[in-house]
Amino acid sequence: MAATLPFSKEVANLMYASHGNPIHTCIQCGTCAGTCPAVEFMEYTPREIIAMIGADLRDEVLASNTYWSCASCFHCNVRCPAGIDIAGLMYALKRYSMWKDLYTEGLIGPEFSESFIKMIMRTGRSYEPVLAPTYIFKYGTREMIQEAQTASSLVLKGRMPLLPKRIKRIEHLREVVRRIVPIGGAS
Amino acid sequence: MKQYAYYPGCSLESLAVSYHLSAIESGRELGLDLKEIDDWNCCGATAYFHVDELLANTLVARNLALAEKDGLDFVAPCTGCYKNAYFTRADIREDPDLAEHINFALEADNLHYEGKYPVRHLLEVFIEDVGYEQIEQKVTRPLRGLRVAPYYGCQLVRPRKDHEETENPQFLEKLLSSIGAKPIDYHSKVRCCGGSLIITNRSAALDMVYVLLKDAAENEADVITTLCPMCNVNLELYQKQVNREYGTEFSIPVMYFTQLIGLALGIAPGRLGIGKELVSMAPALYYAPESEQV
Repeated sequence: MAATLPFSKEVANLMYASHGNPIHTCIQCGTCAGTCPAVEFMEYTPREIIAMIGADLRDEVLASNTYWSCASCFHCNVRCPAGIDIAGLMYALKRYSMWKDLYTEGLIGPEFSESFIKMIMRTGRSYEPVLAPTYIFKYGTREMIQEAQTASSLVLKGRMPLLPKRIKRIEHLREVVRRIVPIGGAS
Repeated sequence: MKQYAYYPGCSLESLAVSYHLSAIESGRELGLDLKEIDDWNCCGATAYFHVDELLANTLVARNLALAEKDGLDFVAPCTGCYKNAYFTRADIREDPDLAEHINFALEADNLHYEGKYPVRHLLEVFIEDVGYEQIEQKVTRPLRGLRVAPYYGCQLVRPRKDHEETENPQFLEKLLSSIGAKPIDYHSKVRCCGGSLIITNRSAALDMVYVLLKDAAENEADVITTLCPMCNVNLELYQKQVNREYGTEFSIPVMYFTQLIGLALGIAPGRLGIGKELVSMAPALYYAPESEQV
């Protein structure tokens, strides 16, 4: 195996298409941490994650829940005085952790993203009744009952169709996807 | 009537069907012909971008190519779909390699995309192509006195697309004033509602919903208005859970801007999807007293 790249370089490579400034231009001001609406639910703030990447703390960064707690709201991006694409960095870490299968056990995000993709490959469109119920049980019985009550009201109000819609040219869509990812999961 | 390639997006077929109904109805009243793109597919939301960016861009590009074939502006009512489409178009236009890759894939569906026509959010079309004055002139039942919290959310104003104001935008306030409503001033109007985390990180998402509802309630909003199905659904459907978790008693109706415009234009509430909500919209109907009940 070729000499492994330091994590900071790997992350820089992941961000090659980003329009933001390189991560090492971060001045550690903490504006991102002060802005982030999900920061209280993160093990490390975005500022800390950036510092940890700079210090090549690969395992610690990947084991944290920070990047999977990012809501992609881009508030940090528009305020960052160094012009870093912080939300883009979180996306890059999500993708990296999924490729390498290195995210922490118990997070719903990676699994959810995968089933979302499978669903689109089946029908071409997103359909909530397939998506949500699989995960809600993880939040406990009370939450599940509440969710079921809401769902039945939504069905009565005509806001939850009982069958998913399938696009007409689904075969073509799958072919399009196969041209990008040859293994693209047509089921 | 000016025609547009209308991309409803998945949620407008289910949870956010009221947004679809009110967009079509209010749009028609204002001379906008929203022609649905034939056989469109999901834009990939945020989940697809978590896994593979090129694949996500390709999914989006298929819809853009379908719209381009008709020679029309691409219009999305969902800010998530809008953001994905806006940046996919921009990336394809400035990166010939990406364009080549994507067009090779699109060939499998006899499509090709160049990015000739703009990608626009539905609200932009109402404001730029119709205009505040024009809307004001068509109002027959001004929502006088209705206190509305204008909620922008994230993806319409962020990431920055041009030189737009990201901290304190005012266009939704101006629109509300043009239909006679009273836009309220509150801190959280561009703060994220947590929509993309509602399934994957419930406690973080509920906290974000709580902060927003609290801010709107403290500033005496009768109604919150949104321009995105994700924000609307998130703020509406999870009020019960927030009340249970935080010991609050919120019951704030959350309405699409197209529903408020529709009411002010005198369209019957039922045609705007009013009645399909789980948090009653009665306060808004009270301020549009001549409207027929559903």
